[in-house]
Amino acid sequence: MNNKQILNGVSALLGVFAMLLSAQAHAFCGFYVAKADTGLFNKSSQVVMVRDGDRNVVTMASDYQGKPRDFAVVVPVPSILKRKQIHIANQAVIKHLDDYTAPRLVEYHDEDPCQPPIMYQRALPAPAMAPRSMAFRKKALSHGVTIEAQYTVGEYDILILSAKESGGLITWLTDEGYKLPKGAKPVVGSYLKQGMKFFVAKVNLKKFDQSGFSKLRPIQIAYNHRKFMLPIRLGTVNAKGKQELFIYALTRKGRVETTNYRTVKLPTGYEIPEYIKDKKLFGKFYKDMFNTQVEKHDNKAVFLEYAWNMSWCDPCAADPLSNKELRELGVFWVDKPQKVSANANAKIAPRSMLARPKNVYISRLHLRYDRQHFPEDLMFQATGNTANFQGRYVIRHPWKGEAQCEAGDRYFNVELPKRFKKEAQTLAKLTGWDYSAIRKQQKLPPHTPFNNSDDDSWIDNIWKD
Amino acid sequence: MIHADNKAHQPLTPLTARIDPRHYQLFIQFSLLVWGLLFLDFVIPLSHISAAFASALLSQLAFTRYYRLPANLLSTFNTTLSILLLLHANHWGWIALACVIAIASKFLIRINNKHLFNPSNLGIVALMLITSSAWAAPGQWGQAMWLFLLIGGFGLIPLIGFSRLLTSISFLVFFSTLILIRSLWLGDPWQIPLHQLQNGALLIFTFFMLSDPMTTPDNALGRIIFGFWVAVLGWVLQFMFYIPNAFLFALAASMPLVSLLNHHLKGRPFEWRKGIRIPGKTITTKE
Repeated sequence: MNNKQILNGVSALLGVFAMLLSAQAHAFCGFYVAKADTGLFNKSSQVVMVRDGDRNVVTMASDYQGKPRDFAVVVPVPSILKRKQIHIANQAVIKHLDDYTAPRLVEYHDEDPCQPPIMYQRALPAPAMAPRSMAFRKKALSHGVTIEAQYTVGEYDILILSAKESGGLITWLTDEGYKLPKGAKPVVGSYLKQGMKFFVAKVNLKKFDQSGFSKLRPIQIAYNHRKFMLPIRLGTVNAKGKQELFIYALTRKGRVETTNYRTVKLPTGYEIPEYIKDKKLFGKFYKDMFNTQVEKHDNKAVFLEYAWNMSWCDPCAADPLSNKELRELGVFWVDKPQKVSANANAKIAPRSMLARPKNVYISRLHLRYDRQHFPEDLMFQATGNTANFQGRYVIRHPWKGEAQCEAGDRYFNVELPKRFKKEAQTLAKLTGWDYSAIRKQQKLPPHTPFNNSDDDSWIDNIWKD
Repeated sequence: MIHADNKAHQPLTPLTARIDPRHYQLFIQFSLLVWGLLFLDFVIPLSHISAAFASALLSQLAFTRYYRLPANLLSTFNTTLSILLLLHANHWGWIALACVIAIASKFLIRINNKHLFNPSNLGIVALMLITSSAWAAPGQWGQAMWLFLLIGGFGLIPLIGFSRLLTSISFLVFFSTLILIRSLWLGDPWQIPLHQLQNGALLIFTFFMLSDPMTTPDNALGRIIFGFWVAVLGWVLQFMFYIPNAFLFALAASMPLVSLLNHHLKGRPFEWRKGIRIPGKTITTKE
């Protein structure tokens, strides 16, 4: 990514998101404490792909932070889109999806080695991410370029273009202020020959000002096509570093995986040191673990970060999406939320009680790509794989109270040091962090050695010679 | 050719001629399975592995007993591993069903005393058509293993003979050509066709499924034609109909062509070297 103007901007760490869980957290999974967001990664884009049979709804969001007038999107699409096939989504829904699927940290508290267990639950805030913007300007001319359609949707002016050859299209786009990176020509040419059209959009500043939104909203397109793919090649032509892409795939039946690249699971289920509970540190942990994994797989793998039926979660990093939110993302097969008419006295169930869809399955894929390692566009297949997967990391808080018993001594002198060592090794291995630096951060709780007042062993020795 | 079954010639044949190609194939398949489990993040539960072997062996034993034939378990292992390497399912039952279909097809779907379908191919394709709970994962092998697979694949030449491997070779040559032509036409960089051809699943299919000498045409020219046809059909399904796992479907759909080719182009049917005969098979395998 190169020119700011092309979709996939620059990301930043924005707000802080906090939530408390209801006490239903399952003991097996520990208590959810923190999640790591997509906003931790620079130059990241998020794409939601809804796929059912040949039906596709694609929502594109990048973390563009610049001025709206400087933003533009150029995306190859499989067919000429009608007005009704284009929609503007609410960034909050994608944020919710991100939160729901984010790698999560859960915590357990050690019980008093001398007493029955007491458990605490706490939720920690975690970093979040931001939407972005785009610019507008438009003329209509042709260099062998046909403007197939022209719409204003929300704050965007959108053109659907077809062209005989790439040269003309690129010249025209450049004249119109769409700064395509150098080297885009063969890629554009390849898409044109594959029968694809170009969807280009800029921000209509007037509409944007009227809209009252401070950020540009994600663009959605809906179409029928057998091809299940995501074009990434345009974003890699200028090869200025790698880009981060998050794909949320929603299907009726199961996981989505790439067919021309390996889909690999993020390491999960590891116990890591207690101090990683700090929200910034957990974010750093996720980021560095991801970096390590990318390198481990020769920069060529697509990572599965979450795969779950949308009706539940355990533990929940955020509530599952409501039917309303899912429909907004294009999950057309879920029931419409019931409309509340003014005259209806019908009892309305609270939001949490509304029927949650059971036939929506989400896969969150994460990849870091460049031209060298991802030469081809991403091709996918929807499988019937319904196995659940989540990026989940565990911290175990040591017992911090008194433990005046023999078991307490063993706990503090043997078990804890051993566990700390193992946690540090795991953390170092997962993130590539310095082992001794990790060890320094780990603090054993103070412990007074057990002084057994009931000890009667002294009696044994009184009358001994 | 090397694979003489004639006992008189056996002492003079080189070592490769005394190795049953199925042992070799089993060795490669087993290595792939272990490699996948250890290094490629495969999740193949033990229940799937045991269900696959159990169902395949039991069906094989049942059918051979019924037809009063020797058990011929070696091919059964090949078929089972082939299914395990490419097919995934939510439940072990689907894997078992794929194995039963594969084995049963050898005995039940026969033309001219030859089984029509490539057993593991049919098992996999049938399951993919029957249920969404079973799927093949063409991306799971990645691109890094292509050299190993190519060498492993060509390792079959001394064992079954270049001529018998012509289906695979012809398929690979024509499929590569089609992919290269497409890339040239699109103006894509060479990395793209290379990336498409390095797909591990494609190469496993080419050398360890399509190569099956029992279900490919008897005549060498027939094998070239058959390989060409599977390549064209696979290419069309993949690049014009965007079907994942196109090559698997292409092979299953092309199997009737083998009978047609055998009818018009005469050749000697293949016989596993120390193999067990299936009824009606002639033993003249020396080419």
